Amino acid sequence: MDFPISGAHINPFALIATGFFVGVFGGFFGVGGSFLAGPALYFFGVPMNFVVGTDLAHIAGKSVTAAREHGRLGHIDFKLGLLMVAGTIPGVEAGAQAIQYFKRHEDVNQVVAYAFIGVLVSVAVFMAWESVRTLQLTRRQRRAKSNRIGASQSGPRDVSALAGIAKRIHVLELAPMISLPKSGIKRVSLWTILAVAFVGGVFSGFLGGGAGYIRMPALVYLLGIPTHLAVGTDLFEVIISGGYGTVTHAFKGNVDILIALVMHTGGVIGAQLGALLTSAFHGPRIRLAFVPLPLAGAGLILYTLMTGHHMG
Amino acid sequence: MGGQSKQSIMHKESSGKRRPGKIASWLLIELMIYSVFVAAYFFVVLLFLQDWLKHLYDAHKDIYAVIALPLIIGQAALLHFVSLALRKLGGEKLE
Repeated sequence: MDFPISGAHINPFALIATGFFVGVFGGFFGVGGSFLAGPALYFFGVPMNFVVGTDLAHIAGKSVTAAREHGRLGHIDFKLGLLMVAGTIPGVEAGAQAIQYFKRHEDVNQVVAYAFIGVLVSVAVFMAWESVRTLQLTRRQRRAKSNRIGASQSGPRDVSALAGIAKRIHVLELAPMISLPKSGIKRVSLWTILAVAFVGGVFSGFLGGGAGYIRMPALVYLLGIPTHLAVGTDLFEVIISGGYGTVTHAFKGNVDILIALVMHTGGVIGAQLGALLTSAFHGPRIRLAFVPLPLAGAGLILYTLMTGHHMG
Repeated sequence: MGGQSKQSIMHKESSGKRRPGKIASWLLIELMIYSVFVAAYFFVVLLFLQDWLKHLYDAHKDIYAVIALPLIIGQAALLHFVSLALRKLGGEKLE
């Protein structure tokens, strides 16, 4: 099928299947799935500027329903989400302007592709390192607990090898200081929240998708937000970054909305299946299982770059 | 523990064993119904939209930009409603 807006020729069933798998993995790992959707679109022969804009539109559609579900469960810190908007929108615009700059210099495909590979490999390496460290830490804690007789039992908590970083950031005195009661944070500098949101926005505007691979770890490890609230608040943020990104990229001619609509039809049912599968795995093991996916995305981009072969 | 409660535990265990199979088979049925719906939607709506959207993209990018977001969000809401209805139907069948 021809997609006249981007000039790509793609089998619609391949797009629906991509949307489906992105939905399954997204639902399973609680992320948007741009680490697979972006590389797949590039592999199908969609120019990189359209990959970025179209993936943003696709993710904006997905996040609305997902955020609604998380909102219903009380997993969104609206105060944090609304504060982050102030950093996210300038970030998305900065990313979109960078795409326009490289589009004018006719090297947008190469620059975005190499940036994508760099980010995906870094995310995979970080996730692997963090999950292995956390698993080792959990084992050590369990052993220590079994040695202590009559040790008090604590409720289920997020376990992370990087919990100390958030504590150090919380003591940073940079006015204005605010509190986030819903997330259990007594004092944190507004500037750290804006910085996290801005960086996430730049990645979203420059590489497409919701940039959950950056914002989620930043919310958990840097700001110390509990994981379930970080997932919900991140999805709420994606509505803003995805929505604004869709409009600004569409205005700049970088969105093929037909591709986004076709791909999204597969994502809805895939997300349900993914959510069903989450009951089988938990915690650091789920993060470790996530590691091969960004690497597969990076491999797909590298293959397309090296061979110039597009499936379309 | 009386025989009645033992029986109810055994019943719960056996229905617990059957449940994943039932859920999987309903998910497959749901997937098939959903595929038919999406295929119809795809050919009726998207193919009609194609020329109009291309015209907007070429001639009125500002209108295209304003329309793109409600289109994807509208589709998300519609498909979510369909999948919820199917899930509800599946839930009733599984009870």
